[in-house]
Amino acid sequence: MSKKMHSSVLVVGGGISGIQASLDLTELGFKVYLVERKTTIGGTMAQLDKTFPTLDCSLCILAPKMVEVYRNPNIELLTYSYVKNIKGSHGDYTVKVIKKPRYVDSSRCKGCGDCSTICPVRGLPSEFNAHLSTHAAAHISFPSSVPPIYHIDDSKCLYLNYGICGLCAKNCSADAIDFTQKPENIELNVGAIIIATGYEQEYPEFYEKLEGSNPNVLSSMQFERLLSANGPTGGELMRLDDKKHPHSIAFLQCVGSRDFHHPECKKYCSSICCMSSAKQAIITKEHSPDTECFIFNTEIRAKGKNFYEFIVKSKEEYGVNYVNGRVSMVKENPDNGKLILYYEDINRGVVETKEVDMAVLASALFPNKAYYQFLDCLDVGHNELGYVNDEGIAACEEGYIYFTGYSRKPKDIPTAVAEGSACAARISEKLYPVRFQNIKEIEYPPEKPIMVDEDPRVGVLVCQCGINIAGTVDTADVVDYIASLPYVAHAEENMYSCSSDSQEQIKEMIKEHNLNRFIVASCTPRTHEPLFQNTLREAGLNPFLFELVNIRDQDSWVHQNEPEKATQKAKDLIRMYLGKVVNLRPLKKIKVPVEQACLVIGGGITGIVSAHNLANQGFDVYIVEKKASLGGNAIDFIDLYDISLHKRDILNYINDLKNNPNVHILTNSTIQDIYGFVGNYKVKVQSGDDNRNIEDFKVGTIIVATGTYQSQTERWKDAFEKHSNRVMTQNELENLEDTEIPGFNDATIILCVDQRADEFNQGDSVKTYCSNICCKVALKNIEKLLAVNPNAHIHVLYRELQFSDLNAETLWRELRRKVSFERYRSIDEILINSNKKHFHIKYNNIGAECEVEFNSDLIILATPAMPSRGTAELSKMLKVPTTKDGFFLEAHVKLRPIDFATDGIFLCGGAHWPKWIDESITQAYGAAGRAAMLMVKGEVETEGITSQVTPEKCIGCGRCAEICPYNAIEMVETIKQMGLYTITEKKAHIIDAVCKGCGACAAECPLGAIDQKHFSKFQIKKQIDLLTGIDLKACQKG
Amino acid sequence: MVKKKSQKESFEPQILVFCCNWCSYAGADLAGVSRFQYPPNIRIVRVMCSGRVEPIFILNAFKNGIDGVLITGCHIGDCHYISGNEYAQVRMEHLKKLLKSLGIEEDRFRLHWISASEGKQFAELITDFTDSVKRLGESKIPKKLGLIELESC
Ligand code: FES
Repeated sequence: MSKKMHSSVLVVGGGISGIQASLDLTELGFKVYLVERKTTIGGTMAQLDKTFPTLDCSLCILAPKMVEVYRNPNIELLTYSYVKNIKGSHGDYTVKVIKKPRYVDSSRCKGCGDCSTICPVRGLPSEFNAHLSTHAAAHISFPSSVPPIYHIDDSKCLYLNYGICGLCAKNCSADAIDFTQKPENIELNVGAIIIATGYEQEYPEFYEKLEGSNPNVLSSMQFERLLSANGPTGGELMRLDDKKHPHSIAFLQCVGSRDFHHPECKKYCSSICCMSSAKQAIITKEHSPDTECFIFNTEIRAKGKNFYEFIVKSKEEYGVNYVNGRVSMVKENPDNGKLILYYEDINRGVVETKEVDMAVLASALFPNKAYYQFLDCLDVGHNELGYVNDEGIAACEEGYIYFTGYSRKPKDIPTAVAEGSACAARISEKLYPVRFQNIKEIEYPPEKPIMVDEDPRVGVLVCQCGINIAGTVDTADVVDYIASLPYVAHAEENMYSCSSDSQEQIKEMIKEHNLNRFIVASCTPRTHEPLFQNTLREAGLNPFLFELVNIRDQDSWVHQNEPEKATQKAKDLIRMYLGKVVNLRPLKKIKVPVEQACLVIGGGITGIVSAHNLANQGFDVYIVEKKASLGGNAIDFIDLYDISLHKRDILNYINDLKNNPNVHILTNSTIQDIYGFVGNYKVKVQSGDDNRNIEDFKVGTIIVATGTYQSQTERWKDAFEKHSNRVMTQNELENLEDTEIPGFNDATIILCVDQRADEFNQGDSVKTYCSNICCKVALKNIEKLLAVNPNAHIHVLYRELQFSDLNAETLWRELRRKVSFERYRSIDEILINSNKKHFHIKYNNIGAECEVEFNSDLIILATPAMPSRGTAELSKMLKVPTTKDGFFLEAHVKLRPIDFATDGIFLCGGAHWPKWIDESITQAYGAAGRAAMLMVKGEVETEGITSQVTPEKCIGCGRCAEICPYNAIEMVETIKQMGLYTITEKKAHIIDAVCKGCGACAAECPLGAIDQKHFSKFQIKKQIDLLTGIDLKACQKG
Repeated sequence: MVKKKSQKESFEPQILVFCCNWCSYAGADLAGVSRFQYPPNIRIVRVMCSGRVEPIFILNAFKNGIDGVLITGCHIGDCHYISGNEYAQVRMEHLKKLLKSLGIEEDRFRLHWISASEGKQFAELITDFTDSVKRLGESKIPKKLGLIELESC
């Protein structure tokens, strides 16, 4: 097997899943080629206004990741490009990529938009705004596009089509317009491939029966854009034809999906629309509380952590109306321009109509065209649902090709993020022998030391940004003024400070004028600070001796009609930042060593998969399991249901782990103590049957995979007492051998027992959440029961079926023919008595609208999945938080679903939230990958900007440690001899490796004993002092 | 009388704004990218998180004769550092009481959340805040000019 392996990976698709995979892969030591069909990365998530269930602003959390990709020296970003063909096999692929011409030179474009302003071709539909707005032929997708480069639409450009115009080229002061560009052929060699092509949605016009061409019928993405602050109306909710605020909005669920009769409809549930509509309704209500919102649905599917409560919140707190019924037709009322909806009210069994001002189609989401081209490229087929088939997936994975995000199957953002990390981990497992072969580490000259008594010599570069700044701000005047200020050794202006020749110019200036501090006054530090800091490093200066003053985005652009005042503002700002810069100190990013070993807590399937992945990447692994053997809940299952993994695979994994000398399996073990921080955790484990073995070891990272268990119910206790062997939870049934199941002719599965508490499910031990998995477990159990007794009558009493998994719809329709699914309203209305024939059940059936009663021999209960016992103790030991329901709380619900806020600790599977095994496995791989990222280099770099304690001032009150969200402050006890007395003192100590540099502790300390580097009290005070002006005479030193 | 009024109108307050790096600073940038115009009276100081802002900074500003101070950060729940803005909120509530007892008008100080996509809201906020400070007129504390000093330690 001396086969060639490339240390590079191709990622197709720059949405959130592709972004996550790319970033993780570079950390794991692989070069990434990120190919994106559109002109910007960001995918669908960039278009969203907010995300459920936290209503986080979508772009706020995504944009930093996009910029991170842009700046990463090991990601080659190929936007506006597509994959033409792929040749080769695992480890060694040759990929042909075509890069389409933008007609804008990306090395010159400054993103100013002058080309677009002057372009006479207008009215092209904006893809970003889902066709709700238009743009010019020269345009950028949206302001925070990455790369921030304009592009000219060659289908409409006058110059490219008719050889006339060319105004943009004349107007571009950066000379960036290049009409001679041709499509580029690029050939890449990669070892593995990730496909993350995302999803698409039809425009409403597609749905004729729903009056899709009416301007007030929008797709859910269009509505999202309409709500968005950077959308077509600036976030103002209005009808697009008459510009009036809508007083009533209908959300139509399941449009074009979950339908087996119409060939143009999708046969699956798109998985996210119920939550998305609930979110949109809530945002609507926040915009205008008087707007009535109606969500027309067959059933609400809220699959995800505390999602069900989000739906309840939308009803109870915001007054969103849920109508149980599917809308079959929409017509415009010619009299008043409103929309009339025709639907069947399922609860009441009548056909109804409703008039609204606006309708939003939560229509089917499906893989885009590029996806199918790709499948062709790979020579794999798809199933009737339109997704790559199981054989295809198996063949691809064999060849190191992985599908992630919506192109694997319908899913929401956090699942797609975890999956991106998982793909990276799985590739790392395959390509680890060649890691770091293509990774660029930049070499810098040695840093010039800054002496304490050395006076600051500041260089200032004022950027004209073409006319973007200079058109409003008198930059020459600013330079003159700044040059007169103390400590300014040199000041000048130039056209584009960010261009590559300017970087050389800055280095020259530093050398020539012997500068030891630098200020650039141009655009925003959020995107450009790293660029200039890098230039400083190249010039031998510490990168923290720099400030970027924003005189474009926050000055010239927002005061376009007030040039004098804008000029004054620029002077003031630079002066303020000068006050800070002269007081800056060089900062070091320290490297802390990381133990290349991982502790995996929990030996269920998730723990096994994580451990297996890490061990195969060459790391030491300790698995700690309470029980006597590995395997957890799932291994007892007859086989794993509806996932591509088989029981024998898991057994093989266990065998691998047992035979791997780097893996230490500690069964019958509990963790006694864990202390330390990222890279350096000391663990104490108590193991053995009774002999109280204590094992101590050190690890660098920790994965929490503690899983769930199913609770018992107090409900119907008296009835159950008599035949207690005939009542069991779903898990208990799964764990029984067929022969152990008591004989039955009639079995009843009751769903939503003691969970989804709202008005229909009361009691002390009742959970508010939905465990998400019970409905699908029920399908599996039905098959099991039917296998035992094919003639049995099986009832499934349910409220709303929660399987939004790709195959679940088909499985359910299949089984629906063999068993009766019966919908009940309230669990309190289900009466169960014991009798000679075991049980008598009576309840109120929705649909039939009558009382139904029958006898049953076997009762199976879907009680809530609970966080595994011991979770609370473990969370204390690890100092990580849990939710109100006791599940572990991740660092960020959307974008960091498998990280804890504390560095070095990760979570996966049921410890996070009850979930189906395939999702648990995905998270397990993801967590392993995230842990590997920290361990692979054997060291981690601290943030340069951290807090520091002045021990003499600290009185050990511990306020700082209390509020630090990252546990970065420890209170260290020292014993001091003072004369006759021995006193113990407590002092705060910052663990640099863990501090994230928010500075909250510095503001909290009542004695001023903590300060934040780079944002110190003195530095900020100086900025404030210099706001009002400067007393130059007093500044002159003695 | 009439003269006085026009004097008041021409008064240009000096306003200090704190922005957190992750949301409100980005919101301010977006206002720029979208060319939403607002009065040129503000000077922004960037901090990593609104949780960094110490009450003493605000007192300092008023002491220097600055006419208004505005603190902005991510919306509650969106803080890049999880809970920094919650701490800011608590501190600023206390500070408000203190300012009141010092006789500094309530409207000279405000805490407001701005997300990275709220460029328009940022511009509106600045316009509104500047107006309300303008209405109050010049701060009673005479303006002091600063010095460029070096930290002594
Ligand atoms: S980062 Fe914006 S408030 Fe904390």
